[in-house]
Amino acid sequence: MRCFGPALFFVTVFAACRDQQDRILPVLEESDGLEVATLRSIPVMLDPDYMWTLEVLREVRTVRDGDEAPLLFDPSQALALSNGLLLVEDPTADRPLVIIDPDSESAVVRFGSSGQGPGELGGRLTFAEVDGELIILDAGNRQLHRFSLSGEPLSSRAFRSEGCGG
Amino acid sequence: MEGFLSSGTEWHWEIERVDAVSGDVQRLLRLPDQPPYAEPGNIQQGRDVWTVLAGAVVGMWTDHPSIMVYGGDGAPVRKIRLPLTRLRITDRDIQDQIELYGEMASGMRPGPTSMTNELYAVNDTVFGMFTSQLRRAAENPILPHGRRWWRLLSVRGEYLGVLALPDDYLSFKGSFLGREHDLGASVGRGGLSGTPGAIGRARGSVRDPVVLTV
Repeated sequence: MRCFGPALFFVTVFAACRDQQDRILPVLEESDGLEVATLRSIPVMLDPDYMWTLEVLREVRTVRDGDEAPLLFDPSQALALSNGLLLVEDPTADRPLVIIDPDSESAVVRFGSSGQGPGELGGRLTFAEVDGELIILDAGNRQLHRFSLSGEPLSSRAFRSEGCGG
Repeated sequence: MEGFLSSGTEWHWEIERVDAVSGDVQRLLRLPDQPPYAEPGNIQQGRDVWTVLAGAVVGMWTDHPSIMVYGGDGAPVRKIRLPLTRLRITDRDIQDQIELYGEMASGMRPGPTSMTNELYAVNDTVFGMFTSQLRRAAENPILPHGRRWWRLLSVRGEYLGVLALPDDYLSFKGSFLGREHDLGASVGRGGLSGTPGAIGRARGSVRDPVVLTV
C-alpha cells in the first residue's frame, strides 16, 4: 500500500558564484576606534550579474513506496559524520536524533529523548563530532551531552559558567 | 572546539561561548539593543539575529541597515552599513499577506517592517542575509511569493551577490560549532507537509565557490 505522497528528498547541493570578480567593495572609515565599512550602493535584488546558483548533487529519499513511516518527519539540522553517515535532528520524532546511512537511505539508529531532565534534550541543539564522539550542546536545558557514534549515551553535564567576557 | 549559544530573548540576545568538551560557558557579547522606536514582541519592527563565522560573530537588528561584526573575543571590530531602508507596508500589502498566509499575517500593521529575518553562516567569512517577499528592504523589487534569497556579504563588508533558494526549499539552521559551517536547504517535493530536504557543509574562502557536500 502506498502510504505517502511523492517521495521527499534529502538533497546535497552545490552553490557556485557566477562571477566572483563582481563583488562590491565598501568604503572604509573609522569611527570611535571602530571600522565602518559602508556599501554606498549595491545591485538590485535580482540583478542576473550577481546571482549565485544552486545545483543538486545528490539526493537521499526520505519517503519511499511501501515504507510504513517516513525516514524523517521534519528535520531541522544535520551534520556529516567522519564515517560517512549523517546525524540529523528530527525534533518532532519520538527519538529526536537519527543517524542516517545516505547510501542505503535508511536510519542506522534513532536515539535521544526530549524533556527537561538529566540527559534529556531540551531543544536549540548544536552538533559536533569531537574525537569520535557526538557532542550535543543543548541550549534549552543548558547541558552538554556526549553520545557514541552509534548513539549510545555517554554522559551529560550542565554547563558551567566561567563569568563574563566582552 | 567551541560552540555559541544565545540566551535571553530575540529582543535582547546575549551570546555565550561554550567549550564543547568541558561545557564551560563564557558570556561573550550582547547584540545591538532594540532601537527606541521598536515595540518589544513586534517582529514587524525587528529583532536580534546573529550567526557565527570563523573567529567572528555577526549580528544585527533586523530592521536596521547595519551589521555588527564582533571578534572571537566578543569585541566589536566592524560595522557594515548597507544602502537599504525599511520597507513600509500598506493595508493592501497586509491584505495580500493575509490571503497568502491566513490569520498568521493578521497581526501586521501599516508602517515600516524589518528587512530580513535571519542571518546564516555560509562559510568561514561569508554570511547570508535572508530576504523574501515580505522580509525585504524598500530598495528591493517586489519579489515572487514563496521564494527565498540570501544576500551574501563578507565579514569585511564586501557585497557578493544573491543566492536564490529553489522553490520549496527551506533553510536548516546553521551549525555554530568549529570552523566549518553547515549551510542547508530542505526541500519537499509534494506529499507530506513536513519538510525533509537538504543539508550540506559549506567550505572555502570568499574567492572559492561555496561547496556543499554531505
